[in-house]
Amino acid sequence: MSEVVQLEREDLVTGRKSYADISNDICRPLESFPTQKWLLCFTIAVTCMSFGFAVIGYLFWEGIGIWGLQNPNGWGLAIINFVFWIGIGHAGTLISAVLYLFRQDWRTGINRAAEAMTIFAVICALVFPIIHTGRPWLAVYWLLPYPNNMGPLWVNFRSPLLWDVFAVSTYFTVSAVFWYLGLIPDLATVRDRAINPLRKRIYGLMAMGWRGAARHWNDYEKAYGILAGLSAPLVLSVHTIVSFDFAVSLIPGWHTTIFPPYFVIGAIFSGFAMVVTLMVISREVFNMKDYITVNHMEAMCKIIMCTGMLVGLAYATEFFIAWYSGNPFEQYAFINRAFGPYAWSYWTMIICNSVIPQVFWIRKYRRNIALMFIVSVFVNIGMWFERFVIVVTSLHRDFLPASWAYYTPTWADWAITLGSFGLFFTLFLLFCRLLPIVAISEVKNVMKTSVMKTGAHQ
Amino acid sequence: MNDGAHGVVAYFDSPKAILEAAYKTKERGLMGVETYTPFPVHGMNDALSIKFSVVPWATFVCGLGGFSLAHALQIWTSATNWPINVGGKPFISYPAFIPIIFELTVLLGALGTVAFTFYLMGMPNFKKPINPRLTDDRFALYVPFSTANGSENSVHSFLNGLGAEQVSLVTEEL
Repeated sequence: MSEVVQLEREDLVTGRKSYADISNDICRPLESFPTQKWLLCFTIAVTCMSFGFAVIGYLFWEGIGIWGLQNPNGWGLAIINFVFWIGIGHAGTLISAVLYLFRQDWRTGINRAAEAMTIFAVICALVFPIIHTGRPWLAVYWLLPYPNNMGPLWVNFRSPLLWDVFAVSTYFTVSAVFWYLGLIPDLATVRDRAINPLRKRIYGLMAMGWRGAARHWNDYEKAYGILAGLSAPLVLSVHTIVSFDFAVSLIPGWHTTIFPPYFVIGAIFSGFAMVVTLMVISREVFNMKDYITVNHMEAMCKIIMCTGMLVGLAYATEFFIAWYSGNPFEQYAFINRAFGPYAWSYWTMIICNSVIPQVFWIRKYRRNIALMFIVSVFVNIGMWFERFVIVVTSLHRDFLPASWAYYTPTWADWAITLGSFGLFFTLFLLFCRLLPIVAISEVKNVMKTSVMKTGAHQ
Repeated sequence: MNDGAHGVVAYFDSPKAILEAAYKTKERGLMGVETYTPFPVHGMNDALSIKFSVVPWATFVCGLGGFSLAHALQIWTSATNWPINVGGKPFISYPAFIPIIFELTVLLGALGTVAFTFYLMGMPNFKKPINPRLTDDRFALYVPFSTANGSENSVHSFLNGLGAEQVSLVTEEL
């Protein structure tokens, strides 16, 4: 005779919180003065950002000659950073949209911060295509179908670079709207808690009069679900189109059909690593350990390990196809990638992306916060190098050995890269101070006490 | 009773309590009942007889608009307004137009969905919160006074009998 065993799921929120505790805990960082730790981080971030923007000013004055680009390396850190930041953004949409559609309730602890990260990462990414034009004030009609006095001369709709403009701007707009929609009930919570009249007014304007009526929740949840449904294919399309920038060209190492899935998986991999990096810090600094629990972190580590192996599979497949194609240029591109002058960057990428995340096979390590922080930083480095490897190794030795060259980024390249990190962390730190970093209404909704067992409604 | 009152609000402290109360208002046949909760209480749509949201229609119409706009924009600029031969490709290079068709469909579909949702919810508005705890940890059930709902006294005493923490009159239009 077998006994029926009722397995209870572990609580998504620990510490036996009441609804009021949740509002208090999550709103506390917004309603108190910044800590010294926060001020220190913010100062560093703003300094890096300002330095980067000063160098961008110099770039506009002097031209993109201050970068390390030469023949045949026409693309360098600008596109590497662009692809890197767009990739970082992908985890946010994946967590907010795809995990929502799959009803993965553990996402509620991290989705707000991850979506914020998406938006800030896309802002950082957008800086690069704009400044790489050298004269961005003219970029309106270079990049967009803007009616002009030259015919009008339209943009080339057959170019993947133009698809990119549409893909990234759509991605940014939809992510921002989705994020704002999710924020509305929480902004109302912050409004209703506010004591200072000015604060009440500002959050009141942002909450737009939300009251939580049942008829509003009905429309709101429907709209939220639809936006999740639209964002899920959108996020896959964005990195697919980014990969077309490479795959549609005829450069060995770029001209491959594996690029779209390879880029999307890499983006999810790097994005989750960045979410882990940020969450480890913010759950510590803002005392959110009951909401962003070790279980949530462990789930993210599993995704990092899985996508890390998928990325490793893509690296192997590229080599296999190069050999199997019988194309000597393709084969040389890959041999040169692993054993040429940039072998150091290739092996950095392999070790960081395919070897180090394997520690997550062991449960104890998946639940070790310090270790996952270190691994996530390595993954970020590895994924930055992946883009470096793709861009640089395919370009620096082209079809004509006489024009081969070694690409070295200049100080200006690095300064703007540093500036983009400064911009990202400045925005993220401001977000942590001004908006609830955990989705209050969604967390309340997944509490066990909110799940009805009366059967009255059936 | 109070002549200036529009209705009466009963406050509850759990989603279960308000859901049960909402079902009782349905059994009694009260009209125009609304609840205000800090998070969506599932089952409430049935208890308040709320119909399936019409929001998806806006997504469909606006998405179709984006789909058509992308076709019109790309075909008109590439094949009509100033046709340019790019690498011998046809002026209407349909496969190359697909990415932008997809992006504009999603963009207009998403923006239209959100705009229409705000329109349905009557937002933005400048109404005052009914009670600040309704976005925190309290759940409110509102019953308007009307001839269909019976006398004001009977509504009030009915709500008192539902086990609410507190029942109070509402003097403004909700």
